[in-house]
Amino acid sequence: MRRSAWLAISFTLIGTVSLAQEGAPPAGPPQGGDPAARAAARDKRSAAEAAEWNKNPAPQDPRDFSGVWWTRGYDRTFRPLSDHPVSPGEAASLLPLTPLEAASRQHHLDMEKAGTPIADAPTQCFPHGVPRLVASPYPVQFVYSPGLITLLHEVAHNVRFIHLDGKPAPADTPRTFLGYSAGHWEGNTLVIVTDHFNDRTQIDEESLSHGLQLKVTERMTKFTNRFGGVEIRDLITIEDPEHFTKPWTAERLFPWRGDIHLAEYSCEENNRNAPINGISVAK
Amino acid sequence: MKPRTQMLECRAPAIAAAIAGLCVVVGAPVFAATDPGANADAAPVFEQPLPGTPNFTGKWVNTRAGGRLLTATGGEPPLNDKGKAEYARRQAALKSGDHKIDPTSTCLMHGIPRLLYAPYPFLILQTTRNVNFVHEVNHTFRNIYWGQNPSADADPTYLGSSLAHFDGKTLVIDSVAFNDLTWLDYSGLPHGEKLTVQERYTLNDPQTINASVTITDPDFYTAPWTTRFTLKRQPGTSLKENVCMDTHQM
Repeated sequence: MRRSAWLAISFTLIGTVSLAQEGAPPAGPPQGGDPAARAAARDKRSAAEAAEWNKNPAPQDPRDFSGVWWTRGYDRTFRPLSDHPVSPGEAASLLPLTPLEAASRQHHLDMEKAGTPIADAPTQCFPHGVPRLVASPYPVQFVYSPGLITLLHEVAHNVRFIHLDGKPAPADTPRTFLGYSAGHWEGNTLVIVTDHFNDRTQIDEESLSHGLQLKVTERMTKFTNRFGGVEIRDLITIEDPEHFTKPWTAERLFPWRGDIHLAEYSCEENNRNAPINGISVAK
Repeated sequence: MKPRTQMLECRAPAIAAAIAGLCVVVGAPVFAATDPGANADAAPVFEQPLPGTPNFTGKWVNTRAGGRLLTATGGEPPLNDKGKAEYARRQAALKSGDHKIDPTSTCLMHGIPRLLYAPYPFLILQTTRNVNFVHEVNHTFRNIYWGQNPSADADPTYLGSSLAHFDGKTLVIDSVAFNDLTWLDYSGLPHGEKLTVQERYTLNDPQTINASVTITDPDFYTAPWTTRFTLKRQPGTSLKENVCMDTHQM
């Protein structure tokens, strides 16, 4: 599957994903005509999309996420969820940044503006980190086995293991790019708590950093949107007292994609960002 | 890359005899726990093995990792002239210390069957939906759906395009559409894009898989040939985060 061409188109058309309400259709290109006609056209697209994606239907049980899901479009930022639509500028102002993170974020923005962006871990084919990986615009497959849910991400063949054995992380658990994830169920919501991170990944691609105290709590719930499409809502709570004055929660939605399988993705093959002149997040 | 031979040595005897017989119940309609300590009530298990088939789900390691492939009778693979020349070139480079000739030296995927010989544990996840092989080495995974006769028209990839089916109690995986950027084994056995691979996995006992791989590639070999290996269950282990680009400076 030629994912790259598809993604280029989707980035252009969709741009930033809004903090979607339940069942909200994906944003489309601006169109002429009256708002009602535009809304009807969007609804028609969303219904066609759901029908296509449901060709192989999503699992019925609300706690069964097994199969392939794929977020719409791409948003390179994480922002606090708000109860009303906000502009990108307002959304950024809601981030509870410590002075350390405010300065770090400004540095990221300045470096990018100067054309010398700070290398994010995936640019060197390192695992993306969490929640950075969750934002990636590539499909993910959930695989269930006893005591374990395995998340296979197409992008750079990232793999996350969600341990459901009810035990804390082993004492010798190392700090890693993707951390140690422990999961449990609260009703039909899969709650995943991840820590034991190293400090070499970013929160988002744009500007947000984290330290060793990062703890990420994801709350994943399956729902059916008004077009019959099935989605997982992931509420992602980010805690890191060095970088944020309080925990804050972002959202991502993952539509069911019964129409696709994961493709092979080799970051290493085309790695042009290997450490050069010491500029790197490598050890 | 640091081979984990030392780890393998201490891991292999760690197979918990206590769970023998619990790991795989042939024909049972539900998963049996593969991990001591896995709490069966902690998560619903919706994905089931195909009815009436052995369940290979669990953690495994090849008892003879690394090295060089021989035929099932211990003979040399039947390289043709082109294959012999390419193999000799690689062997000479390795002997002279030029390890950059090995494609995995730049963290490229190992290809098949070499990935199965990596000295790292891997997870087989067998479900009604598909079979996944999740390898510790450079977090490489294969995503294999049920079916037969994979299409050779697929774009060539490191791990090929695979379909799996059961032949009686044997899990059979057929793969085609490989690129020519990988080695068949750690010694440099060559292949081209016409490579087809058939893997066959049979449970010998709950802790042991008898496996074979048949290589067919008329561009580099005079005839199809088969090699055999053994996988041992590793219930006490956990797959670690292994990032080749991080540990392996180029």
